[in-house]
Amino acid sequence: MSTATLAPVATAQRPLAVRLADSWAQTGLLIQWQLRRSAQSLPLLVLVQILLSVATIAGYGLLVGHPDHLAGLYLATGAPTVALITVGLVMTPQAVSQSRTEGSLDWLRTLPVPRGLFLVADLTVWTLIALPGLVLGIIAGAIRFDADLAPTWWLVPAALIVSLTSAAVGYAMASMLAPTVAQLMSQVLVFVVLLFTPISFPADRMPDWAQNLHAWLPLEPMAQVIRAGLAPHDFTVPGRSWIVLGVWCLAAVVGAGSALRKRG
Amino acid sequence: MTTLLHDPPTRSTGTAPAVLVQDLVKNFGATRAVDHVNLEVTAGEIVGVLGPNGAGKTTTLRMLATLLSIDSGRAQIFGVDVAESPHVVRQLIGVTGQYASVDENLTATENLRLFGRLQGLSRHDARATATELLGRFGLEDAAGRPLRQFSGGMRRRLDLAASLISRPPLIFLDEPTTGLDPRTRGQMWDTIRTLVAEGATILLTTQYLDEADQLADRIAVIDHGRKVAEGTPDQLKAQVGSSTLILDLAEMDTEGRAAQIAGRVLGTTPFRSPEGRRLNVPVSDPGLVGDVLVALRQAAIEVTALQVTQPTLDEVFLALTGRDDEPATREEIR
Repeated sequence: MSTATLAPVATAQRPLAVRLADSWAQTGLLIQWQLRRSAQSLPLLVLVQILLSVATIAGYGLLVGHPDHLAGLYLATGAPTVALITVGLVMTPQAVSQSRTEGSLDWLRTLPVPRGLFLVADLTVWTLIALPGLVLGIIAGAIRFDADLAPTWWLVPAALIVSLTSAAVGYAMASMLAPTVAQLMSQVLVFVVLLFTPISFPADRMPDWAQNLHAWLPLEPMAQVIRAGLAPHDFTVPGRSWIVLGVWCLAAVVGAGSALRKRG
Repeated sequence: MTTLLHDPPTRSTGTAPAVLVQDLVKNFGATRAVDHVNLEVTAGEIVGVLGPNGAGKTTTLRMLATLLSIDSGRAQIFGVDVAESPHVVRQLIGVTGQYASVDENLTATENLRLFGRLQGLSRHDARATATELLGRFGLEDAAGRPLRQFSGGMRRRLDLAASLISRPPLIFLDEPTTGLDPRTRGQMWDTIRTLVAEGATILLTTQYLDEADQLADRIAVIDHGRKVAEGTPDQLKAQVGSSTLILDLAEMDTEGRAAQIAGRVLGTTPFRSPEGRRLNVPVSDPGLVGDVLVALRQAAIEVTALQVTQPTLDEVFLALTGRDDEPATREEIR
């Protein structure tokens, strides 16, 4: 019987530039793969995101009638924030759980592709899916509540941080929990984000314990940065909120990366 | 004709076996799924890991495929440590699992080309390899159809093709024919034999005794996480120690008397074959087979055909694990 006498060159021995180029190409291919495999459901997903965003505005309008200027701003900026967070915290874990159940995620993990790239590719795809709903939600909110929005330049990176944080949390959740539990958790989170988080209303309406809790969770800072990014004349982001969001973003990305690399 | 396998890798590491497993252990909570398993697969071999459901064979394979962590022990693929260098190991293996790896919304060609590109092939090479693989696996006519129109067997063949797209030198097949109909199983077996003929090294898990018998050069039998035996199919059968005399009787109403006579001459307990009409008699001494025939003729019992066979892997499995993996088919005749 013959024996193997040779082995491949280890990845670490290849030049950094080559590895970066490979990673870039592989990320593009993963994005392409994700987009093509969901090509049939993609229009529906985008439509659902648009409906969610615009319907939230319409629903808020029915609930509150004609709010004052400040309440109108909260509602107009809150709806797109909810839509953005929902993509990461709800749709991402549902998609990952489905891949785990089908077994395709396992198979992908046997490929010689850095596992962090799966996160980057998924995040990109889900952000692209959320984008039309986000923009239309902002426009609908501005019209419905007569809100004077003036988006700043840093709204785009801020929205990306919000998207990255929520998607990374969703990814970590779906990677670590059993698929059925992860899907259930994601549905509970929709409820919490929509009704019990100071995104579309001021935090001081909540009981003290809830305010204290939200002071350490990422959801309120997410709402604050989107709100201030859309209406910089009326809102600012406390420095503490940037720190809390930054820490959560870092921890979530590290956690998701670790969950992806984790082997059983 | 080009080969489906990887060109020789590029850096010498001596004469490492394709798979080397030493004292491998995996626990799930309080349950020990894999219990100090040792295994060595030489390049060019096809080794079957045989065991019933829950024996630990898939868990072993998942550890080798870098999908599960190793609690203790050591595993190497072509000399590369699985725990220390999983990314390097992934460049050396192709995995076909029990679940679909390919996407049903894409066509067969799109799936293979994308996976080829993901694994570093150029656009041209990915296209060429995809076309070649689809031809090899008899899927060229369905190349442009979405997978949701594929039968289970076609999907499984495409799964296998997808795991070969980067021409890995080692292929893991985790129960590759589970759930397939007999005809499609036969097609998969032919495909696997072709891979082996081209020099592939294959580690195959299966719960089908005949599959291991048909395909594997060597078989490791795993039960309750432990390796209970290892050897070639013939070596394992020899462990059971006896052959079987199979008698086709002209008249089935003579079966009872024939069983009595054969049992008395050979000193064993005959049993009816699953398909009926045949009497199986364990033979400890092949020299006594002639005596059985003489005794049957003297009793005016007509035998239309006879054969002496080696024990089957079913019997080996029963002897090694103390249970029959497939529904009991023996019916003793007293």
